[in-house]
Amino acid sequence: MNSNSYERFDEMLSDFVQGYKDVVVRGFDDRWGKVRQEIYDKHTSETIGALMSRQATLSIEMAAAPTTWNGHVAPLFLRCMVDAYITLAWILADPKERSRKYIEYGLEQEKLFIEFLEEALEEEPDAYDSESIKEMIEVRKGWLNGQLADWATEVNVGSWSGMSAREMAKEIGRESIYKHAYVPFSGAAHNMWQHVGIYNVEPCSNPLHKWHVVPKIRRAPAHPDFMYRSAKYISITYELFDEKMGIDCDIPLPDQYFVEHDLFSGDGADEADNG
Amino acid sequence: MSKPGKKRGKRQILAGHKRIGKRFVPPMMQIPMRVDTSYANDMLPELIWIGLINERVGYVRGAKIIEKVFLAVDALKEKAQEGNYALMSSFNKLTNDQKTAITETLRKEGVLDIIQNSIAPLVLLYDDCPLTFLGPPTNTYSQEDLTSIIKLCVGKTIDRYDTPGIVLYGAMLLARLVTKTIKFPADMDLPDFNSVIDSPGSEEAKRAAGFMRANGLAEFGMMKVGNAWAKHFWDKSFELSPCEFA
Repeated sequence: MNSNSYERFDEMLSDFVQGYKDVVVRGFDDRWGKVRQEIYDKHTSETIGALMSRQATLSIEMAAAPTTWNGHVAPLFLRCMVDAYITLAWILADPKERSRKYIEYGLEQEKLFIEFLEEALEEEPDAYDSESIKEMIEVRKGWLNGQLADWATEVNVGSWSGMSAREMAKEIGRESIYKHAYVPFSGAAHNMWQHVGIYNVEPCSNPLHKWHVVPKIRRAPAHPDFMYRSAKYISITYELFDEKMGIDCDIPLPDQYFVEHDLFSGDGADEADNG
Repeated sequence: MSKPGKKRGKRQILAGHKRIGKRFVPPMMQIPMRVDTSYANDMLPELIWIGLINERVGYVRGAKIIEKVFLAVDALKEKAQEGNYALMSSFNKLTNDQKTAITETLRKEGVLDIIQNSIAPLVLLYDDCPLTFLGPPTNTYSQEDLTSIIKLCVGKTIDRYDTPGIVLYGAMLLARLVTKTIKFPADMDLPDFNSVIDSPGSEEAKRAAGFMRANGLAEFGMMKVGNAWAKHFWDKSFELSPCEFA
């Protein structure tokens, strides 16, 4: 790549990132502006909106960091996005009841974490960070008690939905996304051998070493397909929202923006290659 | 192509597996009394001396030489020293007097020099080699030469589906045949074992290779050979030369 083509590529990438952020944010704002907020059972709107926002944020942050479009890091974003999609879709099948469960579980986990912090403070009251832990406890208690008094908060250490991710995906009719995205990306998210045995080692070809693999901090090439998947997941999330809320949105879906952008369409890519 | 209108049967995930709690056990792992045996880990270090002989003199002459070893041991060993002497660790059962006598027999048979020079990497590079009693090589080798020889041999024999590896399995069967400690029914349709060397890749060779592997794995699993030599072999091999990357 010569300096002209490099500059051209850099311009196109910058344009893509800015435009992508714009299309995701506008898509979110337009959709959210078209639905009536539930205030009496506010947890319903709060949960659905927060999960949509989470999905959009993850995709925007990934787009803004093209160095993460590789096998080391991208699966962390993508596993989280698939999880957010399954969670949102499952909640949307029974929003009132399931969003309440979702929030309660989050508060329960927060209560448990506060207990851990208080325990640490009791064990080492003079620790160098005891003052900051005290402050953290106060802030977190304030957040918790603002929603549900901690004395009234039960703690469930099982799954928040009472189901596995696979069962949730099956129930929403999207078992395929569990099989083909959640499962493989989970390997990376949980640092399992099927990931680290490929991305974090290099095979030695000395037969006297019995074909062992040795740890290696390896560079994984960036691939736009990872970003395309992120665009796909936010797009199916928006489509799901449109369907469940009965709304239409004219703003192009992020995956459509992706495939039509010069950076990834054949013409633009060739142009950058040829300088 | 499937016939129009005819639905293809839905593929069943993990077909044939047996569910035990949260685990799905594959068919072969459901066989009772099964013993895990690793060819590369445990069997190859035991058989590598034969690989070195074959590498030096070829399969046919190699077979004749190891036959002489098996017969020399067979003539001296006692009941408590039963075993398959294709496996190096079996030689640890012999007394020093027996080892001296075997060495002398092989010298008289005119094969000791060839064996000594063939297995020189094992005798000189590995402290705990069970065949050290056969003596050092008559030729002179540098450490680089010896490392290069053993590396080449391991590289060739580590694939149990390739001829050099298959022949090592065959050596276990050969040890039993020449010492008449295995018998087959007269009407048994035995494969042509020579086909492994004469026509590798042929259907007959595949059948023979499968027979040899099955025999070798079954016998090795039943014999419960200790892993001291195998462990020493691999640990020492690792020290001999650095990692290599493509």
